[in-house]
Amino acid sequence: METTTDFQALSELLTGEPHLKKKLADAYERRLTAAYPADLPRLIDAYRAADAEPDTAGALQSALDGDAALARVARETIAVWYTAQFARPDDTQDPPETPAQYRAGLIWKVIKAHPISATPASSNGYGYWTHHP
Amino acid sequence: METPYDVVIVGAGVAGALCACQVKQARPDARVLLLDAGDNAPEPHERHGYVDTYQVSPVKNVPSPYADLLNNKLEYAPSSDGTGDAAVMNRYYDEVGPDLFKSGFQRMVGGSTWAWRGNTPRFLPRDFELKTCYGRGEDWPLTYEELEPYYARAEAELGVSGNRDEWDPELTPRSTDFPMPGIAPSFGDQLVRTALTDLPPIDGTPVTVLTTPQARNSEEYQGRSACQGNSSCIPICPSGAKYDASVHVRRARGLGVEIRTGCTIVRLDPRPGDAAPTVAFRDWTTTEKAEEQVTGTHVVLALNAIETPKLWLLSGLDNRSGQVGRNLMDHVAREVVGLFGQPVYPFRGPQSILSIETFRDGDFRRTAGAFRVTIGNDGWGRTEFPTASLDRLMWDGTAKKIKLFGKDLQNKVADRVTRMLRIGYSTEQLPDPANRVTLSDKKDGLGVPRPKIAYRIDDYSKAALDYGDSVARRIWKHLEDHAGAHDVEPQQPGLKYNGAGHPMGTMRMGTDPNASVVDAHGRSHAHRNVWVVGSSVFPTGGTANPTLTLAALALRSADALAAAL
Repeated sequence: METTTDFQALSELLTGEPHLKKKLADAYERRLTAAYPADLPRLIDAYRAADAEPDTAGALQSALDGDAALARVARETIAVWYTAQFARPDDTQDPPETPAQYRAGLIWKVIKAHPISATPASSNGYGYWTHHP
Repeated sequence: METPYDVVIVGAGVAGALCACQVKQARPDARVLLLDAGDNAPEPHERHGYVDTYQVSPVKNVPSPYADLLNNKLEYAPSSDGTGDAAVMNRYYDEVGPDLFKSGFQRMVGGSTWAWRGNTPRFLPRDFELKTCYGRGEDWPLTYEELEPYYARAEAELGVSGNRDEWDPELTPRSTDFPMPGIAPSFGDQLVRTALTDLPPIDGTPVTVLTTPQARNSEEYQGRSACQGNSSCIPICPSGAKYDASVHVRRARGLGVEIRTGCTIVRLDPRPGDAAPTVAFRDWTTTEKAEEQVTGTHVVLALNAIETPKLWLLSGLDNRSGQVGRNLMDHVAREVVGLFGQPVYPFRGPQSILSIETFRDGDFRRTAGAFRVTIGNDGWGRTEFPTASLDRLMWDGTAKKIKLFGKDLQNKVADRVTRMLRIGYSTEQLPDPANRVTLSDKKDGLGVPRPKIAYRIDDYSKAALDYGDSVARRIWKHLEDHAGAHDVEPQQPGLKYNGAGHPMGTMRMGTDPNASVVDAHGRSHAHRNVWVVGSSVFPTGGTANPTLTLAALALRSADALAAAL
């Protein structure tokens, strides 16, 4: 069984998704670290500290509210899980590395759709859109 | 001088590829050459590559899937991206204003149909007689009745789905059924249509929701599958269920049409008498990119409303009418968005399925342009993409703080995005000789002048935008009162507008050689062996998406051309 990394656990808290994939977590941690080499480790540290508190989410929110740089990298962490891309510090976009990353974007699942340009395998083809998802 | 080809067709988009097929089918012995500046292979595997490129693109817009094509990257035959955003447009156009022409095109084998939405309503009968009926614009040199059989043929060629009883005979009389049943409305479409059932007429005009005819398969058609509902008609249909001109490029090749790609036309050299001009081009896929020449008994220009007049003007061909490049038109568009009272679940199925066609004609056209209303199945369209919704709900940009995360964020995103609904309207624009394509001093990667565009949205179009906005808001008011809708935006009509991706005009057809460039068959008045196909020949633009009409006209031109061989 794979060990959940602290970045993965942080991501699950930020996204509200309980079972994020480790392979994706590793890829996103690598990409975010390249863009935010100082602040991503600080965010993970803040998560570790919050995790020791009874109200982990509340503690993390307090930490983010008190540190704009931490809030920014938390924003980008949420963004990469939802969309497979995020904004670098200079506001240029770090795009999905692979089509698979794009298709794994949480936003499509959250809105009960499918990644644009990728039909869900369970769609049953023509006309699936006439029904409630 | 030996004439190696009977017909040389420049441009392998829908008009050129259709024309090639029809001529070759009518005259199997004819030697037909189809040239295109793009070097893409119109094969199924190519489609997968475009989808992959789109998915990893940092920007998800019309040109995203095609940005890596070398004619674009190296500017050997640049496309215009038509993103509509002055800050990010690729500057292929040299725009001199006063307004921005926001509609682009794809220069590639198959042309802009790779990236179109696939909507194929016909022009209305009165669209061909705007001058006679309303004293505005021009009449076409042919009637709806004359074009109707070609509409039917074009629908069969492209594969159009639609429901005949919704259109025939009131809107567009038909001699045939649609090739396929209409596309099934989405879950949200059904909710919206039900909510609008008891909407009273607006200014006496009934608001009737119809299924838009679409070149998108509702069942397997000519070897292509039914729509798989990828929600990606624009910019790339992953399944090929939506028609694109690669269909007819492949068919042309099978019929024996010779196809050369990567060949950017740099000039047409006039020849004595009625001889069609020599076509000079450069194959940018070769090391030397040396100029080559080819001649044909007939030359067909099947580019678009920007590139065709540009090529004509830079070649110094006869422009005795003074109309080449003039009367550039588009269907300037806006959208009014809001949150429906319950989830409509957008981004499932085609991007737009239903429409309201009743404002496409009326006596108001004496003073204001008509417009066509569409009900989106793509959230807030160009107003707010789901990723923007995420950031809006998650991030406080002023305080630089996280507003929401975790399940709370998920719930807010779901609540907002699943209820997003767009009502769009695209408007009629009159031909204006000052809206014009000429030659820029700026050059592309092969040294060919880029198009210079002067463009102004006139009062007739602005009145159409105003009226469209008024109608859209009254529809929304009904949805607010009866379907729990809210958060309608923009709260006031603004100055923002979108291009529809429908460049039209610039090579207008007509009966008078002093007032038009080509005749009713697309044949040049001045150069009798040069033909023009595509939406550049439209004398007026109506409100229908132009592809089906240009396809019908191309078939009509092809018949005349085959008869002339």
